[in-house]
Amino acid sequence: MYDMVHASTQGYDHIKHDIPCQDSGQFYESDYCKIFVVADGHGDSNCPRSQIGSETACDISITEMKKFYSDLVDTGWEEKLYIEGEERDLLVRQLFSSIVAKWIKAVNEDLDSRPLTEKEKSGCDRYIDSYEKGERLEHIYGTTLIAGLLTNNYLLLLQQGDGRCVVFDKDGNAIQPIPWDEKCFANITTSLCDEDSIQRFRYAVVKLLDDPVIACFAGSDGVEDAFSSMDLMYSYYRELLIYASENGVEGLNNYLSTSLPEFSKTGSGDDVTIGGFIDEDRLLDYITIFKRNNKIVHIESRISELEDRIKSMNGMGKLDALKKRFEDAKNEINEADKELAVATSLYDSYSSNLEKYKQAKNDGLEWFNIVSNLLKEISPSYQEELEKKVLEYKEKKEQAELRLKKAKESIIPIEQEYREYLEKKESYEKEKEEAEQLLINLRNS
Amino acid sequence: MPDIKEQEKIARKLLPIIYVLDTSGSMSGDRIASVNAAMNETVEVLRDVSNNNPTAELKVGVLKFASGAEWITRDGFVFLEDFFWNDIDAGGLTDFGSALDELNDKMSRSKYLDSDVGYKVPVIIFMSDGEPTDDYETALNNVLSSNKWFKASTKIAIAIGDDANIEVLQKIVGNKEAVIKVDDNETLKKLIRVVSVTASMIGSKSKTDSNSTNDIISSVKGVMDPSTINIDIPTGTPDSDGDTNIDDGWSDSDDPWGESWD
Repeated sequence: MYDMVHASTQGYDHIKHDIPCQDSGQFYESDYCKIFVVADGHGDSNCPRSQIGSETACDISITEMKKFYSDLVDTGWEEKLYIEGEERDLLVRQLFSSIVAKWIKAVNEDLDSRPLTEKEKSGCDRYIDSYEKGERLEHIYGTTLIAGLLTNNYLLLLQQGDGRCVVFDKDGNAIQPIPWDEKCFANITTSLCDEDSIQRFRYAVVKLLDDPVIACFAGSDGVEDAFSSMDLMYSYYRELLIYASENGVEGLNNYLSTSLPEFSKTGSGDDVTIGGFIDEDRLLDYITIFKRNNKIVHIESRISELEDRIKSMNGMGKLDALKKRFEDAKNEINEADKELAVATSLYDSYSSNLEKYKQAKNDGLEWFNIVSNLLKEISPSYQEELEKKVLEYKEKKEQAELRLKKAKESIIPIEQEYREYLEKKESYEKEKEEAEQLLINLRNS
Repeated sequence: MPDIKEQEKIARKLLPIIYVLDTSGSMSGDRIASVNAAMNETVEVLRDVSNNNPTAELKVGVLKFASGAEWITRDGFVFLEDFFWNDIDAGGLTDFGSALDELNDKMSRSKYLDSDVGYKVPVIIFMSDGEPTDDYETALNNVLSSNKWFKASTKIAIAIGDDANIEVLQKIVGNKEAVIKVDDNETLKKLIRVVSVTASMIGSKSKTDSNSTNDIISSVKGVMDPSTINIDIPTGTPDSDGDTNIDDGWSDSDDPWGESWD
């Protein structure tokens, strides 16, 4: 028994900057089928009514999918859905074409009744000329669309633009059955308003008898943009399933309605909308797998992040450069030390000689007079020379002391920066090693 | 309760800022010295920008080109805390084509942009003072036709001195207004810093290339002394492939445009 998941919040950045919520999400359920739709109006300023566009897309999709379901029952064409090929493409394309055509009609009617205001026009810098000529007016309402129709027998998924539709299969794996459009990447998306929208829409059909589905989540790009990898996004959805197993799907819906604002704030800042369904009865069988997989994903993500950090640390040779700077600073201390030792030694030597000379002179030692007479160079100026030397080496000693002091002071931040950077790298390497071991243990468990 | 706390730590997207630096012989002397000085100073400022940016963490790539092209960040983009600038020398030719080939090669998910959803559209800042000395046009056509990251990137060029080929730079960045001409070295230093910081702030806001480029140029105009730089240079016809047109896809930006920075 499937229960619908539905939650939406205005993006944190949208609230901060007074931008309306451009996401819309709706669902429908009857005894025979369930439908969910998630539409994300473009933040592009050339699409000033995208919030109306997304809401309209949801309304129309629900109506058209209900009709599609009834038509298939009435015509007995359900079997056509299960056979890949042109016939199925045509059938689903007809549904999508109908959604697009009615959406274009509706948004044009809205524009007829409420022409663009000057304020709205001011943001349409790139396309205002087209709009003024009445061309491609539906761009004003541009939006993406993900829609799902669930019956007892099949799940039909449609998509135009970005956002992700994740299905949990019978093995508990998270998969994306809808093919991806490579035109959607980074912040760029295709749209319901594109001229080739009908050609570019994608779809998937899951025959539930062959491939039972535990749960399906469609999320606007505000969900995936909160994560640095697809695996982490899957992990988030698994956490939601674990929560639903403990608190019921209704409990999950309540939780989402209160937690999504914080999710947006700490994640993408964008509007966030999640729609889908969960088979609560079967969840229990998968909780252990989900918990284990989440642990693995988090460890793998951390390892990947650590590898990226370590690679970056090696990328420009900063550690080597800091090490060299530290070595240079140490050498400077050694050199200054040596210089001080030499200056001190010479200063002490000359000072001592001077003292001895003065002492001898004062004492009038016999040998002193003899030597003085013999060595003419040891004249009265000898004392002056000694005094000069003492003064010279006193200055040199002081300079060397200053040099040593400066060198010792300057090495402190250099050593600190080097050691901190080295320690950071070593801690990353150690953490990575431990995480890898943890991962091996977990996989073997 | 769902534990999203662990995921919060790595929720910030990565915004690559790529510098493509002309290190040909004509850049010798004061010019390359100014670039060296600017790179050192700029990174310090960018660290603050990155630390205070809740939605994107910056990574930097540096590609130099002269006779051939070579990544200074040889193992991929680096985080700002790991950026360490060793002064570069100038000498050789001006092989723009080699630089574009390198961008084409490394701007892919299998190389430097190795994440499904982790990277924002990069910002590329070109700097040159000369004429291409190789077949840059073939390289440009290749990268534009085969590399969606390059095509969608926000591209800005700084033309240094009178010998810089403005027309070529306009073609490479695909937008006439995205080439800023500068003549003196002091202004060059300041401009590198201003463009880098502006681009990193605006680039982190999820916008299409042309919008980001216009915002960056507007901000640069607001910060720089207008008598020292030249924007809106009339020469040249940019390749329209560089601009986002109505069928190129829609931006899902979430922030108001045109915010200024101080």
